[in-house]
Amino acid sequence: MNEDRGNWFLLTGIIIGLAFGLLYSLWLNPVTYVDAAPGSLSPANQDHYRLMAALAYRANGDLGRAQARLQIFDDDNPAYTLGAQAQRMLAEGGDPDMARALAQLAADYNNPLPEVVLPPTPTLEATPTPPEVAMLEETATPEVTPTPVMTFTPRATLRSLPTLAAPFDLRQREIVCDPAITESLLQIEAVDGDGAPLAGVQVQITWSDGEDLFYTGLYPRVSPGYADFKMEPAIVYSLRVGEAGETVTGLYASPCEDGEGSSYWGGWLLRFGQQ
Amino acid sequence: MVAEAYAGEGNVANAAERLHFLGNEQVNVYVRQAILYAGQHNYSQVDIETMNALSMALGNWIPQPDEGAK
Repeated sequence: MNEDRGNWFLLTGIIIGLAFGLLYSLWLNPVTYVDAAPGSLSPANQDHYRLMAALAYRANGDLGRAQARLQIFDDDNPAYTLGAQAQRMLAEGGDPDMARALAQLAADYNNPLPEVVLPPTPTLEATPTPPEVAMLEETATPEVTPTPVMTFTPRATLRSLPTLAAPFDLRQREIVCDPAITESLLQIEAVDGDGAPLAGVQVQITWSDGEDLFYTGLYPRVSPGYADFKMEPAIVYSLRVGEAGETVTGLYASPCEDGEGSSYWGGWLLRFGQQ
Repeated sequence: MVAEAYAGEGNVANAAERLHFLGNEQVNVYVRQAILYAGQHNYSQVDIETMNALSMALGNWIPQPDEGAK
């Protein structure tokens, strides 16, 4: 008997083999990752790792350790990634306190405060004694014993807090009419006392029936201290930069006109400087 | 990192929630594993003590019904 079954039995074997392989690898003996490098984690787990690094940094103020933890990801711009994660967290209704920790680390990542340099401890200098006095005092010269000088032991401090806690002043406020910008934007730039852009600065915007909270640093290609907000026409906004800064009121989408007489909504550019 | 954050915050429920992200084991298992690993790899005494403090806090912690961590 010679049945001509063709080659279909090969295909059947492949299908059965695949099915068994899937069954084994997914249910019977699934892969378990042990000691996986943070860089190989899923994006959600990487976010969690960064958040833990930010929370640990907030607790211990050890920027070097936080930087080492984030460098594991081989990220070209960790500060940007942290800032973007903070923004995402706020946009998704996450905990503002957690977003704040991320933004704090984003702000400090590239702007470490200078190390505290302690003044040298004064030393006791021997004063030459005139010979005659030395002779007079030969029998009963009280020995000069150096008095212990109190020294200061530098302690680890939450070095980042003073940077962002100082209030911000409005330095520049101007209407922006630029047809190339298709949305009516509130553009904010925050700089420190030396004029350097400052990421991770909290920006709070309020209007008649709402408010929004975000941080500078989401667009580091524009500037690390830049943030913007899309305004709706006919709504008046108030804005405050930092936690104790000046509140700027009367911000609204401004009517502008292009070269051909067509009108469009313009925005505002606000520059804030730290005191 | 979780232990360091706990040292600053003192909130054991938050620490448990963060550790729960690691898997379905009892959260203190992860801390004990980390302490063991740290001891084997010459971590600083301060780090080990920080983790130990968290482990002890978790051992004494009784989760409330509204605290989701296991």
